Amino acid sequence: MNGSPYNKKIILSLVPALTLVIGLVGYSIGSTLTQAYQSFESIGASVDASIYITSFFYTLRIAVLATLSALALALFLLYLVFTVMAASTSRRKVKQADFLLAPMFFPYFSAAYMIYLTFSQTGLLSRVTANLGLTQAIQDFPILVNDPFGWGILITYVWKTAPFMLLLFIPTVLQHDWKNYEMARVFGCKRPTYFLQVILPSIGKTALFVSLIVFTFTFTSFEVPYLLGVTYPKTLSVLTYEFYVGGNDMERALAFLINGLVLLGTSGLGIYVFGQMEGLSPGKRQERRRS
Amino acid sequence: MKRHIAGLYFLLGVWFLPIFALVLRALAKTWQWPRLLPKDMNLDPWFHLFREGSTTLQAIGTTVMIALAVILVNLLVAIPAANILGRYAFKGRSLINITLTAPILLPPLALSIGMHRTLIRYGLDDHIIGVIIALIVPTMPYMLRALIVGFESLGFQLEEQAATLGARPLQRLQYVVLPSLLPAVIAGASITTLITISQYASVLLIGGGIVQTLPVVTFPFLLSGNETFGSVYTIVFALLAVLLLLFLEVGLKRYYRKDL
Repeated sequence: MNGSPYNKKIILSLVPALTLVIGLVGYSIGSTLTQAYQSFESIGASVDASIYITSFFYTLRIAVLATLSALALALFLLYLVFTVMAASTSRRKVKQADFLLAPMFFPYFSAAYMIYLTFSQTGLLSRVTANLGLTQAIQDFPILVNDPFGWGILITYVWKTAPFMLLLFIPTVLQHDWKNYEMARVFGCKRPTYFLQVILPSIGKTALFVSLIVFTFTFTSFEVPYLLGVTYPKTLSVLTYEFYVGGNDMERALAFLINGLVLLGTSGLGIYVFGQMEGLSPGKRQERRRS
Repeated sequence: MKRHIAGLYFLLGVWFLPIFALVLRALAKTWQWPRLLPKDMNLDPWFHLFREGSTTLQAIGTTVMIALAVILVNLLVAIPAANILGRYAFKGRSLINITLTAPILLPPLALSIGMHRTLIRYGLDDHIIGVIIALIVPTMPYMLRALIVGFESLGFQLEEQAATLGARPLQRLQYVVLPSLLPAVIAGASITTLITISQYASVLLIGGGIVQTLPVVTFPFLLSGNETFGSVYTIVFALLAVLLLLFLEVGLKRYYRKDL
């Protein structure tokens, strides 16, 4: 950093990326908030935001439930992977577990459609229950997609994000010192106890950050609730899109406002999460050159 | 041990149910309830979607073109930045790293709504260029992360050795840096591809329905309840994703092996 020509090199190399990212993101935030302000000014004071408030809590409920269910499922799957590994002598990666990652390769809207084909009243699952004699008519099968509670949306999120969480958890189990496990076993520690007291705490921080990422994603995602949701209540993203594309003046103003707030919120959360993760993995910093 | 493996296979069966449903649905025009399998399964719906003059192939072309353009822009901007962030120590490195990673969490649709009016002002809406611009921010952080890891493991030694042997900067770039970065480029390009080709709402908004990518063509079928075509398109889409990833992996590797 002592006035060497590298300073210029650092600046020149970083400027395009920083300009593009900060420029486009900052611009989007600024532009939506300004447009919201201008629209509100022209409408005056009477703005009814009640539909947005209902929508906010509906979205929040879905996002929280999806995140917690996905986390619970991912931990359960991790426990299975751990048991299989602990029972084998090689401690190698469980190949079958790779198949669990399959949903990650389908985009969200495809996954939503597949969940629809599986869980709708005429879907594959209702055919299975009918053939097993559990249900007699189409109406006997519960309404699980396009339902007001959001079951279909939840199932899609869990199906898609639990593998993503598992993928991030598995390395911890793989790399942890198995000698500790042998020793714990010698002293009579049961497998579940070991999982709860040693493995779980070691993935604690990763679990927190990945949950925040999944929460943000499920809170803001558009395609899944658009396909599997109902007319009322709608999630924030669907409401914002519809108000933006075809709403009246007040609805458009609200759409801009919510959009700006969502961008601000997700930026802030992103900086927090990745800031914490940066601190977690110092990488090969000691080999970096001073310039 | 055997019991665990059996449990895992049962779980996988349940896990794959949506995939079975999709494949079965794409093989028949009608599927009477409560039949477990459709009566006559055939590939007619497939031929229908790929018949002459259909929009399907055109949509695939547009989708691939957008993905490649986004990858190219991302590479051009991210390589210099990743070089600095991955190999040099300087004040503020962490902060810049975090700033450039944080947009991973930004929803593409919200960004698109934010940029929409400006793109209209510059006449870039309803055009493939507007769509490409809108998709850079959500994908660049991934490309950058991948390349940073690539540069971290490359280090300086190989390049210095090449320099000692008389390689000029461009030669070092061509024969040392780029081949070593290949795995990182493939990883970054793969994620960029997956994100880019699966966008629906932002492409529809910015492209105004004129830029017809595969999701834009697919969505009406998913909403209209034409389950057969919806399923065929969804499979075409998944196949396209797999093919593109294979192309990136095999194509890039072969190119460099020939070159070396």
